[in-house]
Amino acid sequence: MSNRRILVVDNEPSIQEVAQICLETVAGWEVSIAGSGLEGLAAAEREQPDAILLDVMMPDMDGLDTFSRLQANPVTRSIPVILLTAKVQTTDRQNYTELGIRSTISKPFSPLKLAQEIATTLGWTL
Amino acid sequence: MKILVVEDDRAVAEALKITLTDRKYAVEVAYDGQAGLDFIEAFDYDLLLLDATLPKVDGISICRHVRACGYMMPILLLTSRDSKHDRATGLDAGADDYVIKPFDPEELSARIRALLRRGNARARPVLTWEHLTLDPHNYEVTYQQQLLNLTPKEYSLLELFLRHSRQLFSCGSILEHLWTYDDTPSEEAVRTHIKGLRHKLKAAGAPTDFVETVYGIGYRLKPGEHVVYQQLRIGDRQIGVGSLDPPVETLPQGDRFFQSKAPPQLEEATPKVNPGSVVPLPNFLTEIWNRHHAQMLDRVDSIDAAIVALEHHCLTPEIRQQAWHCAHNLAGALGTFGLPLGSHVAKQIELLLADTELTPAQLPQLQSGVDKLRQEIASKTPGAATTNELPSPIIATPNTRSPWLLVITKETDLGSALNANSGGLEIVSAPELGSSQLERNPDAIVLDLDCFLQLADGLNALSELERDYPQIPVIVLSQPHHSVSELTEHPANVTHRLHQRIEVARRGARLFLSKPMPAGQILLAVERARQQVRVVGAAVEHQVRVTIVDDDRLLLEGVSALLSQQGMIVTTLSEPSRFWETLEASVPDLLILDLDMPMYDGIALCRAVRTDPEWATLPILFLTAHAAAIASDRVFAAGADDFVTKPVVDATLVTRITNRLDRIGLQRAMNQAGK
Repeated sequence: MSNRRILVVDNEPSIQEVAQICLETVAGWEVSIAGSGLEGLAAAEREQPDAILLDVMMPDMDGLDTFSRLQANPVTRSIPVILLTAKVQTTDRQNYTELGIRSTISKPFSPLKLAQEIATTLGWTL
Repeated sequence: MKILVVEDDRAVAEALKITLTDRKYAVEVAYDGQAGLDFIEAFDYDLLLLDATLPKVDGISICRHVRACGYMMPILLLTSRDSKHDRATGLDAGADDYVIKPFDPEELSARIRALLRRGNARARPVLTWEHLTLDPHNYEVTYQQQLLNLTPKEYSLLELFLRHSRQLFSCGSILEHLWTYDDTPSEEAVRTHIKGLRHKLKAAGAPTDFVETVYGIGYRLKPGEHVVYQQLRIGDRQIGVGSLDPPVETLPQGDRFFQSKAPPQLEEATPKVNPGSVVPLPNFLTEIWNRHHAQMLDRVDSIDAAIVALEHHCLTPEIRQQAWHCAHNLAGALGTFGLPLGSHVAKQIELLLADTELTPAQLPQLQSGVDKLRQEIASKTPGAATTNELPSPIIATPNTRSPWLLVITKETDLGSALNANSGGLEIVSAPELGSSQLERNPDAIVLDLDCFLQLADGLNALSELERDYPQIPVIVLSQPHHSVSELTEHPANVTHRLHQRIEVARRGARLFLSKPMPAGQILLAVERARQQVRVVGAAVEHQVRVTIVDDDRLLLEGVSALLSQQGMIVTTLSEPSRFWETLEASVPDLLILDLDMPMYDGIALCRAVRTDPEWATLPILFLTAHAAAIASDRVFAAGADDFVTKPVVDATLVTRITNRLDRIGLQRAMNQAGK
């Protein structure tokens, strides 16, 4: 089975690094990074990853905005998206599910558990 | 106990805060309804003190919202004198009581006490740990949604662990918690229940070390980086409040599991993040942290800049927002790098900075927050002494089959020294021996007895190891020597150490090493233990030296005379308690032990001798009055080479000795030739 590819969209360099190294080391997935919503859109269209890990709080284009654009593009519409967010408000969570977001992972996240959480949500085996 | 005050009148808020803090409550303040809701969402409070009239969202609406979301903590409403309507509406909306402004401090605190006394009996959170859920309402326990069928004691055990997820429980303390005074069984009962619990957990798919054994000390839930959830439930709606902090301990009154004495740590129901909870990081995370460490500090500086601006009354929205972003980033990142307290503090700062009407009154909070942040970040400074950073065996290096050594010691120097000398051997050191480490199949264990408060605990750990992992060689490091030779040491110490050797050997340790011992030698000993190679001992002197230990003085005389006649140098000992120093002083080529002696039997001494690398190949011969068939198994199992039955027939003994020595001489000659 070919390697899973995951795109991480987050403007915070330390989180980019942690996510990349953790997912590569623990899960063996191929990880690519985008530092903004715009970059993320371009990367998603170009690479068509198996999943996208998307930070909510980004300057310029935030996570939700990015998500709606991903949905609007037929090329990227069906890529499952997991949101990274510092807020875990239930009302928000319900909204997210309604919008079509697969799940949310709250920040700060546990680096060693990140891969497992993503895998569990998406039904991937590690 | 933590209280949230939501009050827009700053003077009143201040007064409330002082009143409550004086009475030892932890108090947080929000100045408008929306901020109040944000705080409630983010943190756990034992009680809410709400002003009925607030900007953005009023107190009564907050009540409704909070109750609708399933929060059950008591709410006290602050109303003005002439608003009876508010009071009625407030109570209907879910408030528990009200106080009229201007408030009387005594009355206020009495009402609060009354509400807290009523307690959170209604809010019994569902406890969760990884994929396990325990619901105290209906006593249901599920693992990955699969229902577990537990006995009452197994349930109680699990609940105990979940409510004190970071605590280590000995058999004794488990007995205290779960059984009443006149009903207490033995510690074996605890072990049985734990076994039962583990079995059922495993059947449901949980890892075998879900409940971890820390050898020699007790049991606990397996630690590791995780998010602990508390879920409040009402009807079929669940609200998750996730955090990296230990769960809030709200102890319902009259809980049947904690009858007469509630353990003291349960009294305080605030989420405690103990300052010592800097989580050790795997190496690669440390590297990433090192690269971003400076950036984290820059962010703290930004917040500082906002504080300074606020002090000088020139805080612009831009500066405040910039600082807010920095706090937000830190809140989202620090926990990931093993600083959960840092994330928590940053979040509080973030909430403060979100207030568009931030005033200098918040300065002390902000300043102390920033100080704490710097402290936290400093505790993981790159290049700082890594004495509190343990190499973590939790990192998932998938199924390595290369050999590795587990070193259990509290001496960090020792750990580093071993690492420096290890060559290719992977070494992991830890201050405690947990079952999770053992699941990874170390090839050998070095166990420092100093890790345990008492020798008895260390010996227990050894017994448990022998029982659970008999195939792993254990090398024991003793508690340290205080003098160079046993001859100059206080007799009490000498006896004690002999006692240590004997007890350790009895419990299956392969080697017993005396501290201080250089790392290189320890590693050599480990190698030997792993390969069970016997070390070539002292060279055979031209004159054979024999040491005999037997409580029968007459026999000693007789045998001594016999062997001296043969030209051997004989040392006799009738009192086994001085055994070790005699052994070291006499440096025998062969040792003769009586099988049955008071206090120390020959078998025990033999095993003790075999655990010392220096005497590992010393030929040992037993004298026994027992019929040969019965004794021989024990004798050879203990590591003896031969035995002779009493009464000793002279010729037999001499022949046996000389034969044995000849064989050794031959073997050594062969070894020499082979080199």
